[in-house]
Amino acid sequence: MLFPIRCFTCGKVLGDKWDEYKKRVDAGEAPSKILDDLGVKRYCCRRMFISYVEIMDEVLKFTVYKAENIGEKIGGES
Amino acid sequence: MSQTELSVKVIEDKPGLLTVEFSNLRREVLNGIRRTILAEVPTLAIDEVLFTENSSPIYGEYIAHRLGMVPIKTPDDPEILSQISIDIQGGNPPNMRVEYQLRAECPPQLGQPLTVSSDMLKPLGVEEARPVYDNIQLFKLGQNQVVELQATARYGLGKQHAKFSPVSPVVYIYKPVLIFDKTKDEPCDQHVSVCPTNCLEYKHGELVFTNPWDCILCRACEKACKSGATKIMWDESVARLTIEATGSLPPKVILKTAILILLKKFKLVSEKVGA
Repeated sequence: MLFPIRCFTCGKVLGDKWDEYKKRVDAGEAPSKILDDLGVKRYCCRRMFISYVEIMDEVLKFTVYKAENIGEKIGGES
Repeated sequence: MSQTELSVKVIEDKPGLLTVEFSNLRREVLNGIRRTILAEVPTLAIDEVLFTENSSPIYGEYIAHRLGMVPIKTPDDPEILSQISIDIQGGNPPNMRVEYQLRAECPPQLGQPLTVSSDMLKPLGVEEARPVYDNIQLFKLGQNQVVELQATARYGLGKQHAKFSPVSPVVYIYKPVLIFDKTKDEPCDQHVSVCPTNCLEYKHGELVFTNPWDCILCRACEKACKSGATKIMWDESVARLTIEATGSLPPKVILKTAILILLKKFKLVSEKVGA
């Protein structure tokens, strides 16, 4: 759901590189060039970036309510 | 220098990356060092997480796992680190712990999800044991969601969990050798163009390496050469060890710690033998 902190295969730390990658991809740069600049050279690490789909913001719309608040949310019957 | 004398040369020394060339070091010893680096050099990593509040849709296990993956700066004294490794393997793990506290709340007026990064993970007491990178996304929060947690980092070994390993890959490669038989060769440009790293060229009618260390021993040139004049071999007496650190320890400290661990283990063996 969130961008993985490490490469699944080799364990390289990638979590610190995501912000820059996303910013530059949104600006229209080619992903291959950005990954070369970031020093991500193995294909196991590169696939982490190009195959990642950001769906976290969709999941965050669901909130876990505390038991004492449930009544209020349904209609204040508690 | 004689042919069998051991020599060590630092080829590349950047923060987080170290390449060392060993000549005349037996591969069993070199591989022993490599495997010790991978599995036995201890680092700090978050191992226990206590949630006091979590109203986000993300499971606590998911957040705890991500916290464990964050590399944490470890005090870099090879002598102390090697002793910690021996102690853990001997069943007496050190009692050192680093506590972290984190509370994050997404206010409704923010209007967008709040990203909690690793710079919010503050160590209590031991100031040096902070996350190596400040901009790693730990989790996200939607409106009014709260996460409050206490995390504990401890020393561990790569063989217990990969998060404790101080390196991502650590590899060695022998020196590639190109054997080219001039008498067999038929004019053909296939060998040069087929090379994925472009490390071959024709010089005075002979095929040579531009830089032998660029060769990845894939043998594509050997397969492309119909006449059988090209052969790729390797020289086992020269090898390069590349250490790619995660940031928790500097690569030189990792190498030194691994060698100290091996030495201490050999010493333990000789003490047990009692000679």
